Amino acid sequence: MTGLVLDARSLTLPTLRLGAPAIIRSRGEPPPLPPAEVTVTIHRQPLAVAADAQVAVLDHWRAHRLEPSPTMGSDLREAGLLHHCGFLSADPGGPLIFRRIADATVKALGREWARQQLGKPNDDDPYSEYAIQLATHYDEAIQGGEPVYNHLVIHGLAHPVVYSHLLVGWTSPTGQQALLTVIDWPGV
Amino acid sequence: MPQAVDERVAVSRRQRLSGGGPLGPDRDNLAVILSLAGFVEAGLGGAPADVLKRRLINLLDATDAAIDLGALPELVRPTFDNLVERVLVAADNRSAEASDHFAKAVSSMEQDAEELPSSAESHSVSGADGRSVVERIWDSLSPRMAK
Repeated sequence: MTGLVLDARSLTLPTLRLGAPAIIRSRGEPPPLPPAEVTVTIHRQPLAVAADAQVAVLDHWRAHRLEPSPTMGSDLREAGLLHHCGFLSADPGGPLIFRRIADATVKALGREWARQQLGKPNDDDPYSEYAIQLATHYDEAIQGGEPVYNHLVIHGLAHPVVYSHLLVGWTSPTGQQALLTVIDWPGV
Repeated sequence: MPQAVDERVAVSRRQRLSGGGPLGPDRDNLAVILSLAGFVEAGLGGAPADVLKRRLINLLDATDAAIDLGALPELVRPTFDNLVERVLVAADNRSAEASDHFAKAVSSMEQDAEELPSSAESHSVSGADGRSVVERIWDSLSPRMAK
């Protein structure tokens, strides 16, 4: 097995703030309270340490790396992988929009948040530096055309969260973009 | 190798490069060949529209220059134009197909809010690999730790 690649520079914990998404705050309400301080580290890892479900989705992506399969949803569902997956897509020049949210993400951020976020841009919450930081990795997977695999540790929530995500992306000749994120969050 | 033999080899290679046709200096032919290859590769490979456009401009520039310099005869232009048109049609078809696949893929992944799991539901998120992330991190570090 390939060893972990831990960059000493990445051990400095950046401060991220998770606030209530703008879409779930009604107009006229007072400004939200300062969000609790949340810190996260993102460690790039080799694909060799990915979980089985992530490897299975990676195999699916390799078979369709030029463009997403038109039957991707049913393919992943039949393989028992769909609940691991989040999916975002963008029209040419547009923002990435949530089309599917992985079960683990729903459990972490809440069903109400997920219900509101479906169909909304990933970056619609100006308070969410966490989302902005993830977007950098989403962009890398889409633009680079190669899988991105990270281990992530979030501190500052009720319980520390340790999880990993595999990111694979596509860009069509006309500029459409799609991103599949496969979450592995043992014990949730 | 004697110089005369060197020259004969060089002449022979130039003739092979030209395919025996009425072609001129190799350098200009190569510029056309390379730009042609780049354009066809982009057109059939699903490159973004801006890349395809840039490579088409490169090809047209190289072709015009080669003809102006006498490296290519004017009579090749219709052949090139025909090839360009065929590649553009193929690229259009491929682009439409890719857009269609994208739309279907997005539709197949679309999740209705009612499908969202309740917070109390529990899935085995780790799939068949029962090891936790921490365990896998530990496993991957073990060879280093043993040193």
